[in-house]
Amino acid sequence: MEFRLSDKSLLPALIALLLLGSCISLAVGAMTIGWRDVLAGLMQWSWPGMLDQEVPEQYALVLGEIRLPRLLLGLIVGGTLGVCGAVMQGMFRNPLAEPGIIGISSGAAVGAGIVLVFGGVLSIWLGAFYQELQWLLLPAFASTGAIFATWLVYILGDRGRSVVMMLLAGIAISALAGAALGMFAYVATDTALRDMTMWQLGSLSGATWTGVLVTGCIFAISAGLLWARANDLNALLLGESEARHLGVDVIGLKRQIIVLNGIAVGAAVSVSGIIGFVGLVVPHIVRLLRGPDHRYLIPYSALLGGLLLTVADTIARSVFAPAEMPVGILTALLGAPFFLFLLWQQRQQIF
Amino acid sequence: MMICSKALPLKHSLRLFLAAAVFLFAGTATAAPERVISTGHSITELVLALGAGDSLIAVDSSTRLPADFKKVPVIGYYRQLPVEGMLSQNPQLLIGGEQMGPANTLTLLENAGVKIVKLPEAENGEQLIANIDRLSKVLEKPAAELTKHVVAQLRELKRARTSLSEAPRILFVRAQEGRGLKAAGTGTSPDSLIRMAGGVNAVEFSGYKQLSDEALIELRPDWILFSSDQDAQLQGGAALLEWQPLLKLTPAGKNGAFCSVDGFALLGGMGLASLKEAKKLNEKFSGN
Repeated sequence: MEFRLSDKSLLPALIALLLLGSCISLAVGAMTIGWRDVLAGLMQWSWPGMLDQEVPEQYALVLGEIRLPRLLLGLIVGGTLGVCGAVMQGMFRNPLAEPGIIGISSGAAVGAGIVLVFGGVLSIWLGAFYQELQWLLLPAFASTGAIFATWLVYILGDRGRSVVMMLLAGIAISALAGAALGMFAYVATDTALRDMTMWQLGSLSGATWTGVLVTGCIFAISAGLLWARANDLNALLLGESEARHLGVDVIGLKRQIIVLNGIAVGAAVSVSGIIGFVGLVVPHIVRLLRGPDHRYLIPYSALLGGLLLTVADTIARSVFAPAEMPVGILTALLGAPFFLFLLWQQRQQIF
Repeated sequence: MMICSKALPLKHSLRLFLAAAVFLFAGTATAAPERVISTGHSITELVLALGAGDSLIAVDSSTRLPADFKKVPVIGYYRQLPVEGMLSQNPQLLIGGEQMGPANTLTLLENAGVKIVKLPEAENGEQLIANIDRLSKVLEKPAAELTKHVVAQLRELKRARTSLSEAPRILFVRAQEGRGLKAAGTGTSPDSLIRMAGGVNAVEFSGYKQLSDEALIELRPDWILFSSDQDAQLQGGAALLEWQPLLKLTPAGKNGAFCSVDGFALLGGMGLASLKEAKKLNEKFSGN
């Protein structure tokens, strides 16, 4: 089965789907808002008094403060996971690599677990600063955990020289992180345990404009820098020594990928919790549609990742309305069988 | 604070005072909130007991409403409340425990003009009465009758406690499939319930902890309690004994002193169901 597409059809199709998905995501939710009111509400929110007609205040608030930041966060987090998955799979030359597998997400989870379970101790330690810093603690600890885990993987993998060692280190770090989380769970109070479990399920419900701004900047910079190395990544697909002969600074490239991935995934995970399978599945779909060329793989993975997470989040928050389910459950639930299906259909090398 | 300050001329302060009075009056003159979301079982219980059930429009998933109560939407777990889901119900007032959240959701709701009232989790009778008082003001429902009823119940419980010749040793357990027993220590709702009923918690650690098999015998519980949500599995203690035969060596095991506790009486601090449950337990302890 061959359905590789040219850019002429794929890129417009992706962008059109993304726009459509975004519009639906803005229009659908627990609160029923008509299509015309969606537009009017957004205008009312962005520029109060611009419209002659009165839009219910609730609409403007729901659209501007809840749905719009949530949509953008979905696009950013999905995009980050898509790009990081694509680049990792390229670097490891292993189709199984994704932020979750090499231990980045586990590192972030440990960081978050420390805040959620030992928040009381931290509050004593930080004293008066605790109240002011509270909003920053979880992102900061999660990012630190992610970067630390990535750094450890990098060091253990002979400073990025040995891919096998890095994968093994990633697995070991995930196991260690699992043990640490288990220990946290053992000493945690019931409520902290609930918080930790919920966080690990992943959700975009914590979307704020600050979060969108911070993760958005980090995503734009890291994705841009990674895209700039697309040709080097392509050379790496041939093999390390081949890439070196082609004039690629292989170690420098790996170092750059690890640091950028650690920061980007850490930031994304800190606002949304752990969202599985997007980083694994999205690059595969893009490879099936467009081939493994990183010049296209990276931006298309960003678009498709954003699209996928936005759609999943729209489903997660409207199917059980007025309640909502964590989107991480849904991505895993949809992602894993889809991945199996892909494997079944394409029982061949996709690299 | 500046009203009484000498820095202001008297006339001006008087005007301020009048304005404040008018404002306060206007505040009390508004109608009672008609669209209320309540989270946490023990708090919803109080809302209903105060007669504000008509204005209840949604509850959280930890709440069990009476069987004959109208159908209202369930908006999720009280620590993970969805902003839009709640706003879609167009609420005026959100009531819940201090654990209600997340903070981001509450801020957005407040910005949307929803009044938010957080009540401390009741660990004793005074707090329960204070919560009733606060709720009656917020919901604008008279609390005299309910308060009287609760005070009477508390007084009766106290009398019943003192009438016990010796405080029995109580162990509250949760059975986990294939993993032995967990006991509730201090700071848990079963612990409050045990003390209210006049018993002594057989374990002294805090929170829920796994029990070692041998510790069971050492703890010498006179009664073993478990939550009713496990009833089906435990079948009044018989299955518990099968699960952990060492229990036969404890006083409770010898006398068959097992008792199930209403699971909802253990949620979200002390509530009306807990009082009822404490009374039931006390009667068992005293052998009535």
